[in-house]
Amino acid sequence: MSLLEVQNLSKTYGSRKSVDNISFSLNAGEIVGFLGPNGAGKTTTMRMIAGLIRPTSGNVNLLGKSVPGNTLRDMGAMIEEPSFYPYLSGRENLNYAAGMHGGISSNRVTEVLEMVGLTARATDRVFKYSQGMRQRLGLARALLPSPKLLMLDEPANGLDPEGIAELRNIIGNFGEQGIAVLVSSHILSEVERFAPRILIINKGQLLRDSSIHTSPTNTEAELTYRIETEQAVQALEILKRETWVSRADLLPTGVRVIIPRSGAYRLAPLLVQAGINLTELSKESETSHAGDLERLYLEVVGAQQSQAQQNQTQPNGSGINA
Amino acid sequence: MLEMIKAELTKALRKKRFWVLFAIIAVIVPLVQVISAGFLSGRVSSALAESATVTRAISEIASPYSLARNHVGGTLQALLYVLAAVVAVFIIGEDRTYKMWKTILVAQPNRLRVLSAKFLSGMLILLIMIVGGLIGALLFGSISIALGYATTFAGDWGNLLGITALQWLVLAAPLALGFLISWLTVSPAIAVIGVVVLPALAEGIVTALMALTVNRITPLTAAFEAQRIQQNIETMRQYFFTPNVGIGSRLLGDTIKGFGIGGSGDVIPVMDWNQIWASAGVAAVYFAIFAGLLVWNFTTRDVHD
Repeated sequence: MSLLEVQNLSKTYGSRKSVDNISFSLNAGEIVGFLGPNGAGKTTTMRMIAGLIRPTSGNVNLLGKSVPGNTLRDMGAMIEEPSFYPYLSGRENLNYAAGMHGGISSNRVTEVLEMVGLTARATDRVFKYSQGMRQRLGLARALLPSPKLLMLDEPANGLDPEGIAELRNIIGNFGEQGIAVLVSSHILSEVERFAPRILIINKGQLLRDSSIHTSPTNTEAELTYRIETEQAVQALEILKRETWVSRADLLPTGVRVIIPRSGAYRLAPLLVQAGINLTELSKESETSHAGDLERLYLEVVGAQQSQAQQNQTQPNGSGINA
Repeated sequence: MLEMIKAELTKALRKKRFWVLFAIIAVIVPLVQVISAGFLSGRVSSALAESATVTRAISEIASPYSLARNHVGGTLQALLYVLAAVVAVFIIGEDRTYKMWKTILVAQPNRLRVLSAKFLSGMLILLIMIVGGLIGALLFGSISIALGYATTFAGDWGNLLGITALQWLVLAAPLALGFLISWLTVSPAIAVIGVVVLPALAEGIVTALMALTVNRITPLTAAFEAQRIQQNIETMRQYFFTPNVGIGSRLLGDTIKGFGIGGSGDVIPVMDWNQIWASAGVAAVYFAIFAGLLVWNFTTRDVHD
């Protein structure tokens, strides 16, 4: 039996379907990335799982019991930006949450504060906290009940690179402890590093539920180049025509291009032969896997958007000819 | 449940506004009364000071019983709605402002338990305010006796404590209204204004509507018609919210009657336990209505904040 089962979940506001018949499940110890553009329905789905929003149809089972219900006490969640009573200290905010939950000792409060590295600032009032510290405190609060399921909505928001790395390690440890984690994030390269499985949602529909590393695109390293030229627009057009170019974006003074390592030797000759005067060509980064998830994500979300545009242009298949 | 109430109380007691209110009720008002008594006793001539009425009048201001009675019958009555509204905002209103509901209802998914704990915490805070006022009265009354402004601890303490306890229970009705408005509105200011203004406004509208329901008036029937409307309004007022919530004011009604002012009980109703119980009953009905609406909305509404 799965730890979390989401079955045919829908939420409708008036005529707009915010979440449209989505189903998925999570097993103990599984870390799943929950991806989608802004307004895709991620937070609404998480709120329904947390019992904050009632679904229009469908149901959620946590540990075999229906949500909302007492079974939610085995869940920790940080949904959207974490909120606190600003006039209370970090520790007092956690004590409050512990009191509302019930059965959580003050030792556990100390433990989670240590876990997120906030012990030294625990007695400071929260209004003095930075965004990153608030994120950490939010994570500490989600961990208070020793949850079996942890839902984190954009947990890396406001964290510095060091904080993001720590968060990655913390989340990785949850999997080893048998805690299921559903984490939404826009930082795809980070999700790729700790979540072996992803769910992609857009316009309320679950478009993909798959393992990242089974993606057929995850085979080759990618290089990001920055090209400085006065003929940026022409260069962009030339690059976009090439099927081996993964991605090309216009910059104020040139173009940024992502290409597979195997295509690196073709880049400069292509542009020079097309009459582009290159001021500078520099490698910005090289990633072994990063970018694969981004590509998959853009493919999946882009395909749905193209389909939607096509449907709009051709309502009932007769729009153009009418 | 006890852990939840403890958490709520701890949170509320960390707010400066709580202590400001507490200081007004328990310290500043009785202190002003004692100072007034001292000022008056310094001003009256020795001949007048020997008059029993004058001595009694000064003692009525500053004896422990008088301070306690003035606290329940005066200060508390003046602040009744403000107190209920502010406590509701302490407990439930700011959760919307600080977007805390998503946190609270994830920590404790049983919404009825959350609401019950918060409401009981609100009632306990009101109790702290009321008892604080009584303790302040005893303390400053003792000082007053020591300074010679008052002579005795004596008074109708039984009735006072009885009506105080009932007043506390009756405060559940405006508190439930405060919770309801705080839950429904985003702004704590609107919640406070709503609790203070809405009941009186609604009653004013009902009264005006009743005054408009006149039958055909002729010179012969005009006086009877006016009397009929007056009677209808009087009857209706028995079931209004505001006249029934402030039952503690009857303590002052008795005192005023004792001095021969407003003796008929027209201005401030006098102590009549039958009427007090009737008022408590009406307040209980209002409580049930507000609490029912609150529970229904609280347990069914989606939390988007």
